[in-house]
Amino acid sequence: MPSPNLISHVTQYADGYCLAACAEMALVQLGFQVQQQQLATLLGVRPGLGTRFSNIQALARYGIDLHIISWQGADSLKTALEAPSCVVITAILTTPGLLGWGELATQHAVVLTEITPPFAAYHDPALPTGPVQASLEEFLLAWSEMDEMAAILRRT
Amino acid sequence: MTLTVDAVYDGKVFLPIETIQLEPNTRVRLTIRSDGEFVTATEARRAANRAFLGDFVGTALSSATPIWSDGPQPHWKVPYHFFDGTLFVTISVDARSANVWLNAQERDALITRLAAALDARYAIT
Repeated sequence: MPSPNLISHVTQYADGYCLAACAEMALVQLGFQVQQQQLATLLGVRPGLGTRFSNIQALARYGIDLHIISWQGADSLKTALEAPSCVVITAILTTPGLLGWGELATQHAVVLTEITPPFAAYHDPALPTGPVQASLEEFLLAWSEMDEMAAILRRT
Repeated sequence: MTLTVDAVYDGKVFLPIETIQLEPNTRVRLTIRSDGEFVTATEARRAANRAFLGDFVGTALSSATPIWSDGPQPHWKVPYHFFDGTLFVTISVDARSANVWLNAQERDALITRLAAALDARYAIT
């Protein structure tokens, strides 16, 4: 299994598809090839509107181990990232400190790949390439605005 | 889930003065605010986001800096814009309690109206 740092970047199909794009990145990493449009349907994505982060639970149909956590702190992310065959998708509220968002404060999903203080690295499906880096403090702030929600996916 | 409750600190633990429907040992995060103190603009925006959008991700809507509104019921007005800058709605948050002036029925209606507006903007053929 390749390192999480080698996750292939996927760009979201349109506004609203961030969770479907993150799901596609995660599933590829776990050995499944599924089209983003198919995942969007599975996750209940509506163009522009997006979907509920908790709908990521629908990926369990691929036989993967999936846990949604909330308010478990940064250590829970570090632990997950260090585990083999594990992918972490986080919900965030975008801030000016995150690449590409300027003054837009919008609820979004990204695939986290690394926490090495003072930086965090992640794949933002709204950007053309990835991973990108942000200050860890800024990333954790953006994450806390979404109740520190994260989905931890593992191949069983 | 976000709750605003009054509590008393007895020197060791916080005791809610009303019953809370939570399982024992559920982990939560406390934001402590003294009686009479106003919520900050950041707290108001956070409260509005949670009440309005909940755990939605990917919604092409951006919350802007809350605007203070004085008067008998001081509150923050949190504007939500589409990505092109068009105002969609402004949501009010009580500056004393952080309660969002949006009940479940109004929230559902707002999400329905938002979905319709975004369907029109993002129709994919």
